Amino acid sequence: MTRRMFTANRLEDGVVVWLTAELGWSDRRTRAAIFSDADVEVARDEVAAACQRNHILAAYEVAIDGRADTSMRERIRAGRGPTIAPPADHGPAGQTKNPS
Amino acid sequence: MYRYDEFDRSFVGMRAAQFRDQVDRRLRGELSEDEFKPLRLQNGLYLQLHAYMLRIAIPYGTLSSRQLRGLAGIARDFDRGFGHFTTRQNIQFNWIRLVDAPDILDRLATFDMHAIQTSGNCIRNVTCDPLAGAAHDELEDPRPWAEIIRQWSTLHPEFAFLPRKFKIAVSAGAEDRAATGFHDIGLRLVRSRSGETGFRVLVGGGQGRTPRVARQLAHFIPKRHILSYLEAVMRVYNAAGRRDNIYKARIKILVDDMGIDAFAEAVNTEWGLVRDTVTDLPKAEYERIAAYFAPPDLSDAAPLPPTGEAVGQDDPGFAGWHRQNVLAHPNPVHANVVLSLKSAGRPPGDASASEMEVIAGLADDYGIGELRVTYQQNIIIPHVRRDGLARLYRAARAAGIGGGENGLVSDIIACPGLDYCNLANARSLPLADRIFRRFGDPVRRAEIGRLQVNISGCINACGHHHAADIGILGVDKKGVEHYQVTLGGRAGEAAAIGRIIGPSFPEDEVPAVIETIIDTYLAGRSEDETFASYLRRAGVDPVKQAVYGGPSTARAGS
Repeated sequence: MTRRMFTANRLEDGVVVWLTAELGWSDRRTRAAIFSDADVEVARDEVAAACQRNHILAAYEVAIDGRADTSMRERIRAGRGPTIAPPADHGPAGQTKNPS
Repeated sequence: MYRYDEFDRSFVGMRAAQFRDQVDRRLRGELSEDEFKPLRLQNGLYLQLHAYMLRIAIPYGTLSSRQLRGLAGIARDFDRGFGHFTTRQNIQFNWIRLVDAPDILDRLATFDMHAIQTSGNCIRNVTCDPLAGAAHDELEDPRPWAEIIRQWSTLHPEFAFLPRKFKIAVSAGAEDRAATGFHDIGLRLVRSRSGETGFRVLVGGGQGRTPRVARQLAHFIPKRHILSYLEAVMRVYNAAGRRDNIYKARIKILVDDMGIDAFAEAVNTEWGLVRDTVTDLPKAEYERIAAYFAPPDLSDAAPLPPTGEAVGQDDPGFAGWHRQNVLAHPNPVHANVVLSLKSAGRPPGDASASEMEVIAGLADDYGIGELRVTYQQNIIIPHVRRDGLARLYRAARAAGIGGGENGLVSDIIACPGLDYCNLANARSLPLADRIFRRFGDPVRRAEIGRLQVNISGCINACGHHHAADIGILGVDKKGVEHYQVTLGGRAGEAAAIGRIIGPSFPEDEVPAVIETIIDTYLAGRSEDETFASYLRRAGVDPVKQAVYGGPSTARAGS
């Protein structure tokens, strides 16, 4: 039996999102649901519907039985940022619009 | 510097307005992603690993302090307070929201910048010698021609759907500082025997999965004919370049397939049809554009104070910085200064908004308010008075951009790699940092001498690993990041492609491998022999032996 997660980028800001058990989309990897063969079609329907209603793009499945879910790529996406910090802004505005 | 006229301003404004409408339609669902993707890419907006990425063109790497402050403002207001200077003299912002992109394009237009043709199968931003107009060894400033080529190629209707992307570099120095040998077309400004200046034209260079050093297409094309000649090259490529296979679509493959002589003949035939027609620029128009690049008036500089540049010479940091980062200028009272965007913990080429503002201020205070981005991912302030160098150094050091490693082992070129990029197989940035720290001792760096280390996170080679003394290529080996090492690559004069020395290494082993390679060089070099010269003389075998041991202990596979 294959177990998998569904992930994509959110259309309006490109942020990485995962499909939750409630068939919503969360930007937290910890909220990602794992779908078995039994419920995968429901999940795929939501992926198609979310693309259709322009909520997400670039959706794909991540098999978690293999090594894919622990690939460096998926770990970096789950970490919501690079593994090395960019230089910090000490500018007059102080706050940035899209803080990490 | 070139400044937008009314036509440029209305054109860029119109493009930004069009993109705003396209984004609105995408968000409302009137455009699908398949329909929208080519439109956003035409405006430099990619979807990367974590968010949208906006690549903004810095024409031939030249920008004003005002523009750099504008970019800092975008970093702060729309991104996470930093930007990444690329190996094509551009800047990328990594955390762009689609909903903000139209506002960003509007903001860019207020300081004469845009993101047009920073993506897609078109003629990309023309790159140039970063010292253009300030170099001690150039025939003349090549930037008027870079600007003319920029205007000619921007939205050229015939070349909007080329088989693949197309990169042109222009250089006028005796030394090639624009890596012209690794471009689809490289233009070297040269003087003919009769004293006329014109272009030596190279074609078919590039990196990626099929690295090629460009070959000479024409030894001398008079300047007045360069646009018609370029048009002829583009026409041959546009008609005959492959469109059936993305990996064989670059002009280098066409030149390989046709052979350079047949390709040159096809270009000459085409050139016969277009030269002396409307394409070549009238002299008056050339002069109008060249006037923007008139040499700055540096004559009002007061006489050097008695302390001169000796101030701070007793500071070893300043001495090392002065040796590496202060470059010759045609006027002996002036110099060009490299500000390093390499430091411990900093991804190569990254600069925070506050650092960009510091750099802009330094260009105003010590130069003429002008800056150059290098493909080595550093920033140059041209036209700096030498009596200001020590103060400039202290200000740069205080801001964290005063590193003195220009051209040394820690001046690492690196692509964003798997930390940001959707195409990457492995990370580049943490490895760059580990190597930087391993060679952090300035005394050791200086002892090693000129040595270029470049890192790419995949075979697309944005980190120029093929063109490095020591190149590092990230590969995915059964789900684990590994790195191949190449030796003997070189950009500039006598450009060469590095050769893989053997099986790849896991990340943890790479810094020690680099150290072993360098130790072997240090032990085997004759006095003053650069790494490149050493390799040419001794070959790669001593290094391979040191890295992998004897033939019997070499690891199998890669």
